[in-house]
Amino acid sequence: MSLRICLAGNPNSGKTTLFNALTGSRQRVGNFAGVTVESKEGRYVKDKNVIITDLPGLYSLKAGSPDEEAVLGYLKNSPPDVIINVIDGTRLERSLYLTSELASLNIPMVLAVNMCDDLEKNGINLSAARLSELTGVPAVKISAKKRRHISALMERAIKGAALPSPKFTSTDPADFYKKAAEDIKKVIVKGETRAEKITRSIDGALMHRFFGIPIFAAVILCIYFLSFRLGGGAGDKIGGWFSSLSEIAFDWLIQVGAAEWAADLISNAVIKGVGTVLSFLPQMLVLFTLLALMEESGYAARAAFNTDRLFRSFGLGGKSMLPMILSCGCAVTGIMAARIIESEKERRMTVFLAPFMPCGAKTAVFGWFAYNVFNGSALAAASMYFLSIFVCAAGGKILSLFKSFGGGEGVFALEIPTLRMPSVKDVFMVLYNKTKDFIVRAGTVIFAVSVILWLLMNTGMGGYTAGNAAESFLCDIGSVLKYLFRPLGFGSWQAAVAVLSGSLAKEAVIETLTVCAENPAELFSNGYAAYSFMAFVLLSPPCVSAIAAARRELGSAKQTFYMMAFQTGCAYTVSLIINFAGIIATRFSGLILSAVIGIIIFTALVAALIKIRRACPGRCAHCVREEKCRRK
Amino acid sequence: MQSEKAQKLMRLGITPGARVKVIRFAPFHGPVQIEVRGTFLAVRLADAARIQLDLKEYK
Repeated sequence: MSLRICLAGNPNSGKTTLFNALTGSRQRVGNFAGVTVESKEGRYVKDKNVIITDLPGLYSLKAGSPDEEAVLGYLKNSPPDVIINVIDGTRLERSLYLTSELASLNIPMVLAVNMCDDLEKNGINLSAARLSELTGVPAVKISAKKRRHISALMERAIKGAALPSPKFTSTDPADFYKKAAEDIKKVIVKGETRAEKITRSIDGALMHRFFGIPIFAAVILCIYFLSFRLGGGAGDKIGGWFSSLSEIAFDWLIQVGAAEWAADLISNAVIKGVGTVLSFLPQMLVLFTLLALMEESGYAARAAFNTDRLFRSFGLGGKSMLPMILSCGCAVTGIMAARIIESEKERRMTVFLAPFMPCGAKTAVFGWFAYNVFNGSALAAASMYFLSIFVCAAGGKILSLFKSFGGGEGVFALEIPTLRMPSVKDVFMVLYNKTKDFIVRAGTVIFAVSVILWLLMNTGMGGYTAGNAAESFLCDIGSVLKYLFRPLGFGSWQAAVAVLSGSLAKEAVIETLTVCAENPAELFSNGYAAYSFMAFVLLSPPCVSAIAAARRELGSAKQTFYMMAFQTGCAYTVSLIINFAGIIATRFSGLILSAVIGIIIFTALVAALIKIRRACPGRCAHCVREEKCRRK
Repeated sequence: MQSEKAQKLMRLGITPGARVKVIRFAPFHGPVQIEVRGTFLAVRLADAARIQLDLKEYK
């Protein structure tokens, strides 16, 4: 019969390090009962019958955020057999508040007092015996990082957990802290540790009034550089290998007598599809490592401290900066970086807005346009950066009107933990699990779409088209869609198809244009139309890989759909404005059809926006419209 | 002060009677770093302003 143990504790208490030590690399990431809160489960390496669940770090069971609600639900509905409460020995007083709340659950507990190596090194004495007396449950001093006393802890947890003393439970913080202050002095007399002293001096620089932000900018640039250049470079190489591989495979397959369509399918869709997924791997590895380092060392909190105000003016928060910057390299990395944002609303908004930034692929598209349509003018491409920033800000303002994003998160109170050296083992563990996760989930999506797009591009009414795009289904689809794009200035099937192929990878836009039309530049009646096309490529939903990443971060297909709808709406609006500006500027006549369609769609968008805004969300807690509310 | 926000701060240790030490301010009217019960917290100015303090020593 298996024993279920769960680890509960404050954020930064070393809980995850302990979890890694207990379960080795056999961990399974999942969700708590339909919520987007991650849950991790694994088996104790020394006894496979013991199942260990790692709960998200919390300060209290009652705070009402999705994390806390999910944990409370879990603890009440499927309570574990034992709770190991991981406590940071250097933050005893604050840590014990959660302990007192856990005590009211009436589940046997054991206290794991972590960071004991730190305390010992600095001559600070913590009496586990007195702590036991105070709480009523066994207390074991451990060092998760150095893997000390962990077996002893587990023995206690398996055999000797006890129900906490009723005197220790508490529901009111003010009450608890008043009573606890004296008792805690008997357990520990805390002085400053060396690590804390060092942290204090480094913080002088990291959180400096003037230098804090430049230092942050430097850190971000490093992360961007390393993950995109290094990782992207390696990724391109891998993409290149698979391209060559696919060519070799094609030739070989034809040689051994395979039908042309089969050879094409296998080499172009299958092999290249796999290649695309793997080409993201180096970027992922570098990014995850750097992010994990940033989070583990404690720097992430300081970065948020510095940039919070700046981002609040856009309806976001300090931690959104990294995802935005990374999205300039590749939206996939940017979206994944949004994980570090705790507030679900901010995280969602960041994921919605980050793809607006011009990623490497989009920049390639702009480069092509600059050269082939705008006579080498760099302005066209550079202006896309400013456009994206503008749309991010405007989009942010629009999104914050909606209940799912607006209202802020109530009190912003972030703990600034002591700086510490990240442990290689832990970072590696995170890396391994996240990468595995990515390949499985995002990989299948990218691969599937790759095959589907290949089918659409290479088959038509007459069967296999062998690269003749004008006969493919994609062209048929494009011929219908082109009317939608008429008001935007690029109402040709080639352009429509090119935009669609951008869903696989934005670079494909250029590839498709050149394949479908002899002189692609002629598809655009004037510079404004071309510019409008560029803007549409910039702002429309990102490539499948990024959408897959967004689906992962947002947690639901419905949200992902909303995101794509929002982005498409923005893209359409901006392109429309640009094209119409062009029509007015060049005094085109005879485009009544475009004007009519454009106005209708635009009005529909605005009407939808107004209608959604009017709807009362019903929950007044995070409602943005306090003054205008009719319910009061 | 709204009780929900107050509760959240209290759980972190900012209770009536607690000793709060201000460490530094972030640039551009950003959050303020404070020390409470041995823990360092960053709190936004708007929220911090609503914590009533009896100023004791200013070092």
